[in-house]
Amino acid sequence: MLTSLRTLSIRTKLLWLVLALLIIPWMGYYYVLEMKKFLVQGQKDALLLTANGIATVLHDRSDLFNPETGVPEVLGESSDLYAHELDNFIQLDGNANDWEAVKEHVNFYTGDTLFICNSDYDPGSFSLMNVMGYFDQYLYALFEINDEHVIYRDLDKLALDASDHIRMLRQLPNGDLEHYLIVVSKPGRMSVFLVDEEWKLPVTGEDVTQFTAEMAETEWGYRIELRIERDMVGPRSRIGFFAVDVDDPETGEIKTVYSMAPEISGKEEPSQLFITSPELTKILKGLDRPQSRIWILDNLQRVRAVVGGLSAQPPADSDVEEEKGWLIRMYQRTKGHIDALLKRPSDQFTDILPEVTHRPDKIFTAVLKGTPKVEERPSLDKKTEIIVAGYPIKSGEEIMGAVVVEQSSYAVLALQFRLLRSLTIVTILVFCFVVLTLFIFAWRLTVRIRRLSTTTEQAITNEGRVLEERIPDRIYAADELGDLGRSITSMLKRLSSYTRYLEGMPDTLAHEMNNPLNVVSSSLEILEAESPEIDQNKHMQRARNGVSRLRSLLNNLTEAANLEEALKGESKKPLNLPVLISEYVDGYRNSYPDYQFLIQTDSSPLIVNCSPDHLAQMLDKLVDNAVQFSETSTPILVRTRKSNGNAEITVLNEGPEIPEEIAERLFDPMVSYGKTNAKHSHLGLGLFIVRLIAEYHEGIAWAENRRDRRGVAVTVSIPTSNAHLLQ
Amino acid sequence: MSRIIAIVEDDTDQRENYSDALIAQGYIVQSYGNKSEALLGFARSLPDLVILDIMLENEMDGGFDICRELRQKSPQMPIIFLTARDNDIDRVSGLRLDAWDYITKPVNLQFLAERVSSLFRIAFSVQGDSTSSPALVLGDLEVNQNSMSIQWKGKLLSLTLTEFWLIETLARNPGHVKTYEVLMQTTRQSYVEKNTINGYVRRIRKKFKEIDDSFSKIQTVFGVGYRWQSDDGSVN
Repeated sequence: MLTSLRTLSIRTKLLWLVLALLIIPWMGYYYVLEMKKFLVQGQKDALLLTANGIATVLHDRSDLFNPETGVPEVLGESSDLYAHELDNFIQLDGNANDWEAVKEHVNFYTGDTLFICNSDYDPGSFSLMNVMGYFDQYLYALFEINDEHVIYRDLDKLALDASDHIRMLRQLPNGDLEHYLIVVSKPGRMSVFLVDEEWKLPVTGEDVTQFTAEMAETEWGYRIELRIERDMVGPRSRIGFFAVDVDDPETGEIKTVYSMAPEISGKEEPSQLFITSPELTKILKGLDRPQSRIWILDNLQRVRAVVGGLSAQPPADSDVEEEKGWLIRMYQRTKGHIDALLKRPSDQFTDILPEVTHRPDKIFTAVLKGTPKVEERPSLDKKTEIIVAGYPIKSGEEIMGAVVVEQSSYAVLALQFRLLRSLTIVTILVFCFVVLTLFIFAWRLTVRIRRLSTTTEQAITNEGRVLEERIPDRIYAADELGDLGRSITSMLKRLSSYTRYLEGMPDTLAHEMNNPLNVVSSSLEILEAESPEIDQNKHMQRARNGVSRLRSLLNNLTEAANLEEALKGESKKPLNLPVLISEYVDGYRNSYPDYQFLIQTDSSPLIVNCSPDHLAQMLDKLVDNAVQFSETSTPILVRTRKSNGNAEITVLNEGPEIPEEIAERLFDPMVSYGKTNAKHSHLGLGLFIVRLIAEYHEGIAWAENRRDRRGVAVTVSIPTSNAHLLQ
Repeated sequence: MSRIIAIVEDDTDQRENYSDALIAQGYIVQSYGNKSEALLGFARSLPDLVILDIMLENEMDGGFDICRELRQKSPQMPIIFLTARDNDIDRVSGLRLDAWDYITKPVNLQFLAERVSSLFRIAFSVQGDSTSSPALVLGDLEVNQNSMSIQWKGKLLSLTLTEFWLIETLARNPGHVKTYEVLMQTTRQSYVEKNTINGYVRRIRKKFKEIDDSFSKIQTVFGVGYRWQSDDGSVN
């Protein structure tokens, strides 16, 4: 693992580091989740507080749960009839003066609530107004009817519906319907009959005593005051009134039937009757908000009242920006993608309808035992979360019911969504920016390091010679890499001075050794001159030999040291290599008569651009080397040939092979192989000089054992020149 | 009248050996071990010829300094550098200071004596009559044996003794190859290798080319030696 890490480039490592930045969006996401929890908790607390407040208001209001009184189960439904509290007892005298208290609640019914009518209906000919109230044990209704022709009941006729009359429909708690017909033959006390479903014939023929009605003629028509015992119309019973207009006393044809239950069209249905407790209504109305729904439950978890709604609170979103530039368009498009990715919460959802009569949820069971509670539940279609807070309503020590406040958590979800979206966008932008920056940085860094490394490598040759003492300025910066550059520069300087010292060593050594050698040789000379007879002394001869060998060594030492200096000022010229080689080998035959020299060259010219003197010096060293490691009287072959655009000069000899371990270092100074001939001491500089000259000619030199295993082949390969030989 | 030779050499053994050899040849020898001694001695009286080592005790270029001082006193005095330092830079520096010869150690004492006498001969011919006819004229080349000077196209080359002898040897038989062995003898030095000869020839060619850029009279015969190209171009 660690080794594989080490093999990564700095660029890759930095990119990996960038990936570590992904922790930041994760942190943001975590933070948003936490914040959602916090917000939901806040909402819960607020809801519980609301529930608490409402419960406190409703404490000790036993009327709220009195089945006799009742409260509107659902406020704001216009299909219901309302009975309002009256200030006084109503005199059934056809006089409307005592209805002052409920004057404001009067409903006017015109043509649009017609239940049945003929085609020649004239809105001006018939209209009515109605109001209901209660006082003490009675429920009262007032009907003001405009009618051009008031038709009274003809007592001779059996059918009860041949005159103007009022119909009352009553639904019993078991669902059965009772039909009542209220009719009169002259202004005054009216008759009430229980009739059949056709509204024609009385069932019993007797007056119903629980109802009392009084009729009086008015300027535009007539007025009816109706009194019903409260027992007749309980909190769960439904009731409906219809005014029937008959204009022709002869035929008794029904012209129009008005339903006094608004928005119940085409059906003969009774409406719920609500006997309002104004204070309570006021309280609950005041709590009516579209964003939260308040349920009042009794201690059997039956729904007593519901106000408000669960519609989502539209959060203030600045989404509605106009498309201006491409940037904004791109932003909008990105936002669209992100919306899809993050599942934008919907504000459209369905939940428990307010019409239910029973809420058996567990939470309310707990609340009704006296513990305020708040919790979340998914909406019916699971599209959103709904927060439910319940608080018990007490009367004294007794728990009478519970207030339940519900609110959708859409607002919080929407906020969370918006935060997540901004977070995502910002993260993407920051991430791109950071990646780009780091990439550029890494790229710059890598380039600089590569440059430094290349420059450093080029500053020193393979042999360790310092070519450049200074890393170029562009790598110089004030940072660590600049420091490294400076360190390398100072290192190169030190190395260079050390190299100079080492390079000067052979020269100094030669110089220092030459002086004592000079003493020895000059002393020998003087000795010879003074005593000529000593000349033939064998010890004298050996001393001279030793001096000669020492000189040869010192000469070799200085030759290599001086060569590079000498090569600098040298110029090259084109030369035909085979010609030079054959001339040269001819000369060698004279110098080394003990050895047999063979030449193998191409007949075609092989032109190289060279310094002839140094090429000759190189050949000297090659041949010297071959001679030194050859068995006497074995042939030495000098071969030239063209190979891949290079001219190859190979000198082959027969003798000991090169040990593999030094084959590669053979061209380094002071490296030698095979047994050294005591007569030809050498320092292993010959092949070093060969290499220097080969490199000066942009060529290379190598040594290998011959394929026939009989000796060694040393080859120098230098590029051929395109120049034609000027001859 | 015996000529006076001054030797400045910090190595006592070598100094004594030189001194013995030159005294045996009949010269009077003054020997000095370092720069200050030498300069003091030269302040008293000037010798006829001076042999200088370059490195003197701790002074890397002590010999050059002495040479510079002497040249101010006597522009014509023959000065020989006899040193272990064998590189082109030192050679050029020495000759730029108008030294007459530059010999590298180890030196053969017999050859040293020969060189000294040659230099005295030149010095004499310079001081005396320099109108004596040139011994050898070969096309543009003029070799004056007496003053040991060479002119190319009428211009004098600044040469050391060794260089003079090499050119003279080559020019004596134009067209003939002079082998390395012959040329080694000519240098009158104790230990010479092929490469030493190549170095001499390279420097000689450079000096000719300073006068005449198209100079190509000295030809290399690879592996054998050199020859002076005869004017008719024939090769023997």
